[in-house]
Amino acid sequence: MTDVAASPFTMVGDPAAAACVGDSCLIPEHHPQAEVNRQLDEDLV
Amino acid sequence: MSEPIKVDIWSDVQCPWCYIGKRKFEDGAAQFGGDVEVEYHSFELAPDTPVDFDGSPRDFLSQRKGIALDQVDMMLDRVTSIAKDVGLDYDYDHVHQTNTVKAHELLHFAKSKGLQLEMKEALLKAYFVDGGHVGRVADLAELAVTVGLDRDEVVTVLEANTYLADVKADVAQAQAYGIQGVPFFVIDGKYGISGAQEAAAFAGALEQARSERDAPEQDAS
Repeated sequence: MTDVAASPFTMVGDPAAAACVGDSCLIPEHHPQAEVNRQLDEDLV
Repeated sequence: MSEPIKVDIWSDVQCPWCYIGKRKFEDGAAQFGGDVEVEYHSFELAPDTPVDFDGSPRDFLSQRKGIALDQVDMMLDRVTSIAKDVGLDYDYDHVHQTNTVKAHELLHFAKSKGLQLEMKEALLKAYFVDGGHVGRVADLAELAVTVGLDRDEVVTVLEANTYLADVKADVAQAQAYGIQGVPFFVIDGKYGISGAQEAAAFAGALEQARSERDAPEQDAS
């Protein structure tokens, strides 16, 4: 979500974390499984 | 007593991950436990959106991205579910898709009055939870009153575009930094964190910044 080459900062954290770019707010690939895991935890599945 | 750790956050009012990321950052800052000074900066995701966009976010996404409405519904349901995990009740059925430049101007005005954090929370809640309109001056003035700003003063500065240059300067700064998406967090001017990260990522970066500040003092003793 960031042009790392242009960034003056040391980037930390998950580079695939959810962010909005332009008018698109992408959902990272790992989120659906995280959601399923949450539903399993809550006995919703 | 040491200075608080400065955190600069680029964010847009109509960015669902920005509100989720705000909650996760707040959680991370609480885990960190030290003094933190937060400043929000403007980022416009869709600056060409009309103030009175004729349609819902569902229509907006479908038209802009060419995505089928049932797929948009799935995406919004998933974002809503993730928001719920951090205690936010997104209500996409009542969200007013709009242009956020005036909301950003209001945030700069609120900063000048020491009320930026309160205004930011109020704007995000109005947009995602309460079905408020965050594009019109009259609605923004109404909302500003709830955090302690003067209605007439708000209307005056928004109609005069008093803070428009500050908004554009923030956007230009983001571009210079290579920031392409939001939320984007800069910790103590050193560490960049992109997106709605887990709270531990924020806590870790804050702790790292603090330890680097403390290191010279420890060496000197």
